[in-house]
Amino acid sequence: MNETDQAKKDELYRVIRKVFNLVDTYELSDEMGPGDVSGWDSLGGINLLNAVQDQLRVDLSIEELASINSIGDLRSTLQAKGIYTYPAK
Amino acid sequence: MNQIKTIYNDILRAADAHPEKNAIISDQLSLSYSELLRQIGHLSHALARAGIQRGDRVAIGTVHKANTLMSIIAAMAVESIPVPLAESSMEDISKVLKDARPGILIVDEAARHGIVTHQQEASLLCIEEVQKDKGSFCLEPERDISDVAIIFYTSGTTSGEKKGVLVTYGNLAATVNYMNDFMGLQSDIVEYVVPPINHAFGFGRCRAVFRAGGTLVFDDGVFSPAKALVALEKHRCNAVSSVSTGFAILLEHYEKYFISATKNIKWVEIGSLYLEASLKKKLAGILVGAKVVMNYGLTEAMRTTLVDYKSELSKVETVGRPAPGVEVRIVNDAGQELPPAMTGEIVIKGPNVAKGYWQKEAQWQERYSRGWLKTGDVGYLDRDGYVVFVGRKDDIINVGGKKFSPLDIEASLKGILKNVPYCVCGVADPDGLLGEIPVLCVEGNENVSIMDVQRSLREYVEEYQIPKRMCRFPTLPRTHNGKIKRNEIKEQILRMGLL
Repeated sequence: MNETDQAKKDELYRVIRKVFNLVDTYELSDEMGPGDVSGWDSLGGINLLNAVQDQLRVDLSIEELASINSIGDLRSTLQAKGIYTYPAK
Repeated sequence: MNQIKTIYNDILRAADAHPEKNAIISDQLSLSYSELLRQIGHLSHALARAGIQRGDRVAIGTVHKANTLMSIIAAMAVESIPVPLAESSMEDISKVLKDARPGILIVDEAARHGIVTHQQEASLLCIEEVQKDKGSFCLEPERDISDVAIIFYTSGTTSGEKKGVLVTYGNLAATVNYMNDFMGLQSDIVEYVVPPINHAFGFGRCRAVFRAGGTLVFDDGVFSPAKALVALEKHRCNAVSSVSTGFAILLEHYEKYFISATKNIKWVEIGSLYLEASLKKKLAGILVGAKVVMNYGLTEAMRTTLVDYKSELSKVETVGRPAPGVEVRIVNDAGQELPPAMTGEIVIKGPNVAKGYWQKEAQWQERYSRGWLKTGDVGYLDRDGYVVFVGRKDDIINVGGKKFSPLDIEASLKGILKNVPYCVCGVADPDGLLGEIPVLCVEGNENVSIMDVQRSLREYVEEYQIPKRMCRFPTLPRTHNGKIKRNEIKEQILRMGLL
């Protein structure tokens, strides 16, 4: 993974940490999903996907939302729509 | 001996009549009735070969719902007693295993990465390895009405102590009979089952669908409203069951999709948790042509009352009338029966009342007397005999002698605290004046001001019902069903001196 990719990854993690009120040192990985990340339950999932759609100005269809089982799935779904996250500030 | 048929008989009958019909559809695996029967046969054979005998407990720690269901039925087929594990912490799993002392613990590959396989209490049987086994075994599937069929451990929302509820074959048979009669289930039922199978409600839905000879549709893991809506359309489901939280989430966040995905729905069952009357009305309004059934019950007395909000919309504030053969009374602290409209403890008698607690006879005797089970729930009967649920006896807040349920306040807070999980608890008044004070407990660090909340609430509730203080929690403790553990919160507030 090159430096830019890593930075993009950090940006998605930043959104996730913010939505779930997680400390900066809370360890995340693309394999994690509902039930693995503290606060990512049914309602937490809705809040996360709403936040991602708001912040990245993208609309995800119900089928796309249904296919997201992990952070990696979310990243792939966004990238398939040509949406890239920005480096963390 | 009073012999009755079991869920295994229902599967046998359906496999005989429609061997290729889908019994279970899920992402992980889909099974026809004949395949389901074969898988259960292999698993029961493996249990028998592992030395599991009549009366032995078989713990079930599988992740996938289909595996959980097959494991339960296989354990019953060899006359052992399944103990589904619904606990999420290693500590709680250990407690249950130490208490139940199972002869074996069934897991699946998905569970191998989880905490359940780290326990030291029982040897493991992995379901995927069993399925390679060619053997098949099943005893005569009739059982005595008083035999223990399954042990469900209570979530301990009130006492904190885990108790294994002994549910008999008689309990299972009675409840599935009157549920299916009440709902009018037919063999074309294709039901999307949201609740976990390791709880009484979810397992009850599976029994109801198999009795009708229908099809179960599962998604695993944390409930995803988007997945549910896609699955409803994809599998042409005509039935859906969920605890009330699931319906509340679907209606509040995905109403447009929910309307579209549920146009073919004929049967709905809402689990036994509080659901606001406005949401019940909304559900009944959207689900044209469906029976929208809610039950009130507890693991110790499953599906005690039933109501169809579609045909009994005027009773939307109630949880229904007692099921056939079930009696409900309201009693005061002295155990005397109260007339309609008077609030007291709900007590239950009937074929749905469990046999006891596993090896906790004294605790059972505290709750059970001459056929009547004390629920610890508070409510009253209306003039037509419908039960109005007020709240948990332990949750009732007593402010200077004025008593009320936290549910009333929480309902009013809904429009004020959007997207912030919260609850209201009665906690001993630190000033010692009022007995208890209502305390607002919120999750996370959202910008919530108690003064703003108090100001907004004054429009809706009495002054004494308004929370006097607020406590913040990183996460509010919940059960698997999403029920907030008020007693644990109250204990934390007192122990940590949060007021």
